[in-house]
Amino acid sequence: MSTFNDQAGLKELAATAARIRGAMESVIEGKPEVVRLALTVLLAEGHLLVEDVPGVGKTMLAKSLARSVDCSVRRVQFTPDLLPSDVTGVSVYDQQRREFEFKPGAIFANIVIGDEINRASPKTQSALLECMAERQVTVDGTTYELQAPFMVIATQNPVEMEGTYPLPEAQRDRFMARVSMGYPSLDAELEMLGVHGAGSPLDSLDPAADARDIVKLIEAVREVHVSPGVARYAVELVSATRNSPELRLGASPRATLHLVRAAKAAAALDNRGYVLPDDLQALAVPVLAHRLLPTAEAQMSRRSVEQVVQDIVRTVPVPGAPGTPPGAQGYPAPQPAQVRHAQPAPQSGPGYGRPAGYPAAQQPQPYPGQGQAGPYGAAPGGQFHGNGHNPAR
Amino acid sequence: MTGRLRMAVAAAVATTLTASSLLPLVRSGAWIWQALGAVLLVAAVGEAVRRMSVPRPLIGVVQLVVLIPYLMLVLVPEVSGPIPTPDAVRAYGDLMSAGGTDIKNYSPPVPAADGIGAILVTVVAVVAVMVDTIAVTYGQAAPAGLPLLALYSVPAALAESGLGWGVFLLSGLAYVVLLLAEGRERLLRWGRPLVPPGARSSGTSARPWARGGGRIGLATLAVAVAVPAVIPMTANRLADRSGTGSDQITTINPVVDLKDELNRPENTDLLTYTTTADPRSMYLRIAALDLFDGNSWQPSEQGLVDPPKVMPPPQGLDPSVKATKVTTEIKVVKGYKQGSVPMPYPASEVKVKGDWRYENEGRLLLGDKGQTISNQRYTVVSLDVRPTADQLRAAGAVPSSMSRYRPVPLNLVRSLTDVTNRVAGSGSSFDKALRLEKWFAESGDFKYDTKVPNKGNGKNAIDNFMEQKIGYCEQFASTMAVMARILGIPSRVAVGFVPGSPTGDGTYKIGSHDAHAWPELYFANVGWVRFEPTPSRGTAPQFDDNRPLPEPSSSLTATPTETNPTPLPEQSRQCRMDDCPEDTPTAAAVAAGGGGDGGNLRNLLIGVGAAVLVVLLLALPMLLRRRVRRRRLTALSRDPVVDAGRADPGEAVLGAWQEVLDTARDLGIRTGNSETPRQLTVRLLAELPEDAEAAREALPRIALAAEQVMYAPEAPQRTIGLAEDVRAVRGALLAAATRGTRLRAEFLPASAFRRPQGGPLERLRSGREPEPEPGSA
Repeated sequence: MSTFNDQAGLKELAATAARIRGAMESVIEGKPEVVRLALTVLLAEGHLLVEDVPGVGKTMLAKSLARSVDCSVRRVQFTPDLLPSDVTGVSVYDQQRREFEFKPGAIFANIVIGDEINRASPKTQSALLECMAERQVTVDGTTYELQAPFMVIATQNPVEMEGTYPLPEAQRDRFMARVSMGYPSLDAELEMLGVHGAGSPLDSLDPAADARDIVKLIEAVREVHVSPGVARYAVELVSATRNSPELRLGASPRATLHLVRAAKAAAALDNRGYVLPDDLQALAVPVLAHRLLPTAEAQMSRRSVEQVVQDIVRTVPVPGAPGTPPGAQGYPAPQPAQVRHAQPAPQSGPGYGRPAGYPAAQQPQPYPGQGQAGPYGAAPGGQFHGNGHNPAR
Repeated sequence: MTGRLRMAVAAAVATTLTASSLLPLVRSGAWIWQALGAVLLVAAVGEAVRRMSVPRPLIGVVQLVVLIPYLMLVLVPEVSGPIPTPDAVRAYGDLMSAGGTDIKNYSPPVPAADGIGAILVTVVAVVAVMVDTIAVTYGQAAPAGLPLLALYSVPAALAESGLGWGVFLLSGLAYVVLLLAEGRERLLRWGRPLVPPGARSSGTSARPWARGGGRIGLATLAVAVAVPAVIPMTANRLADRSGTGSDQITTINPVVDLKDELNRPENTDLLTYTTTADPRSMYLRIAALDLFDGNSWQPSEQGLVDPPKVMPPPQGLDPSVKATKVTTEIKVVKGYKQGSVPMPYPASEVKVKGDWRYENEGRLLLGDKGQTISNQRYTVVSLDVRPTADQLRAAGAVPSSMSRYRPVPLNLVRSLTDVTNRVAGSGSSFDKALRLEKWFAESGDFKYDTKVPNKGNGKNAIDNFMEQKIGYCEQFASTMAVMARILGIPSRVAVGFVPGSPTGDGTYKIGSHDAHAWPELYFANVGWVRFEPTPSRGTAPQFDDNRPLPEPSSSLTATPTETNPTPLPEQSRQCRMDDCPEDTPTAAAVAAGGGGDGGNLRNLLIGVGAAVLVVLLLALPMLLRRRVRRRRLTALSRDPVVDAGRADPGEAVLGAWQEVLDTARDLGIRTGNSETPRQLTVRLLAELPEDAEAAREALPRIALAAEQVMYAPEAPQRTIGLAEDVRAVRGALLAAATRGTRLRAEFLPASAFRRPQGGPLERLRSGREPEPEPGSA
């Protein structure tokens, strides 16, 4: 099933995304911002780290996202005795054919749910490094491409909990964003009692899009415009973490990439063809905070990394210059960086780049940035196509 | 450059700038180089000693010790070697005392004699040490202003008309420089200012504090210079008025104050008048001197009140005395800055413009705080009092209230009693007074001459006058007044003008040579009566007398109604040019108000110009702000389709957003650098009143459009509606603000003081090339 025609526009993207969100929110109640962030990471080709205490719905979030999209989903329960080959796959000798045959591991899926990732040994965690960053697996000298879309949703308990191994910095850096579920509100928890009492809400969850839809969405997201000013703003935000006296370790250039990509996805989710500094500001904490290490002084003065990042957001001046030469018609030529894209950008439709929300007649609500959660909530569910369809098999 | 060295330089600069205020005092400024050398020496020695970690109290001492040989070498080079010898110290002391003598002898600007120069150099050097010690060694810039103020107050006190604003500006600047240097130093002591990484490269915002302080200092100086230029110094006057309206003020003494007035080589026209009175009796008075202490006649301290519409009846005038109301219209030339209204005695009504106070005892109108009659035209209604000789003879005992008009120093009483009694003879007081007058004026014993050795009106002048019988009106009037007092008649000396000369068209003209002094004697039931003892000056008063008088030259036979101006010119011209200049009262009266130099009109023009300038300066922020607003709105109304390629619609949209931002700033709403248009819009929406529907809808439209210009690939093409949106938002924001905030936004818009290039917009444009977009890898 395809919800898009080939001339997909942001409007349709937003509609599809709204459907997915609606589906997820029927399971994860009272956490629209977490749902939105998960979707943002999916569309930005990133990986999501869900960190919180047990029992607040981390796995439920991951599963609801996986269920909402009709694609292959694998779940890996990370245990202390899990081996790297369990994740990546193993070559087995086929006696009949007299050759080695590759048995793909759990990683070969569109969405991989890594549950309790910090309970596995660092050795096993490291097996994820190549897949997450390069979307490929190398076993016995053979490199296998992972299919698109590919997303790892890992959950973990805070490292203070018993029996956990902290994720190495390299691994944390490969997650685009870290999200904390937080406890639900009283009302949401009450309602949850009612719904979950009747049975798992996941069972009644219908997928709202399929893998091809997601790929198209991702491509559309790539086309979201980032003005030079906003790009520089992103760089300044990230480099501010490197210069901050309260941080021992700043964010990497990969963090800058992740931040901008996530911002593009967020802009697209808002039905907007260009990134605003607001997007970067809103994503700075989830995208940057888990990569940073505070100094001992900051820890002593009980400054959390999140607070430091928020302070940086408050300090760095917002760009105020028009990025493109005025009068440029339609969508601008691809930026130099986009040449590197594996897939060339599809031809944009004539209306693709039209700025959203202006003039005001386009929207009853004059300000699109506010109160947008409403329309997302009422997305109709798509047709259920079953779960676990895996083309690689 | 370390902070301390910067402070040392600032202290030296401050001392030098302030010392330059001494320049107007001295004709030639050669000493300033020596003083400058001393200042530099003090700064250099101070810096060197401070580097050696000498205890702080010793640093100033070392500076002073090093100064001594410098002063010796510079000031007394001929007797001094590198080490001060006793001879050199003695020569230095001699030089200083010579300077002291010079200072006493000269009035500023003094010639640059060695002694004066030595004193100045020494003073500047000592001040330099004090400033350096306080500001640099002890790091307290603010109290260092005290020695600077002391240095400044010397020329300020000595210069007669105050120092010019330029000198004030320099000295004020000196102090500001010092404070700025210290403020910067103090801030830097707290560590490096935290700058957001984006601004670090520009480096301009690293010192916002010092810059703000500097602006405040400069603005204060500018206001301090500009405000007094337009506002006359009325503080004292206000204090006068605020009381009961009557306070003791010594009236000006034209005779004494202006003795040093220079001779006027020619007869300057002062005023013209037309009168309904007998022109010969038209003596215009400007002063009444009632105190005589043996040295001079002085006006006593009298209460001043606001001028009454109708003045009280003259002292002692009985209704039975014939008095006719006469009206005199007087026109004063421009530049005659007399602080007292010349009026005939006794005036009852005066119509004159300006700030005048009335002094009832002398019946004078005195200018309040610099008010002069220059270029005025005024009308005086006065009484032409014509007592008969009988009435005067019948005058009874003088009331005791007039006893203050009778004291005479004892030594004068001794020396004059005999001659007075001999001349006055016996009879009524009036007869005695009349005989005195005739003795002076008509006996021929006395000669009118302005070239008397002893000028003035004190005892010495009177003694000389009685001995040599030569003098001018001042001595005649003074002597007769003293003799009248000896006879028991209250008396005073009036200063003013003899009647003017007719110009032919019914008006009379009074020049500087018509200035005059005469005695006024008091008779009960008649009041003050003018006498004219000065020969060949003015006219003696005429009294209707049925007894024939023997004096043939007297004009006593003339009737009161007779108006014959012909003798006046002759009488006036008897004061010839060559003997009039030394007539002190003349010169005194002429310049009683402080010399007639400038034109009133010019002053007025300067004042108006300065006022306009100040108003313009004050209105400048408002005008700038309005201009910017108009330009932005015009740019918005331009149709980008019509003049495509010329105007940039994106710029116009940004202008609209900037206008909203500026309006918010003007109203005191803070706008942060790290705030996006959306965040600010949300905040502004909270400020807007609920019912401002149009504005609430317009504001997001403006923000969206600006956002698109800044971040979207395609700028919006529609800008025309935005102008109305901006107006709506601005109107609603203004309406939501308080009245005071609105006024401040209008007249002191904060955005007018912001430098536009400080914003991120310009920095982005002028900065590096935009980085390649960090796209997805």
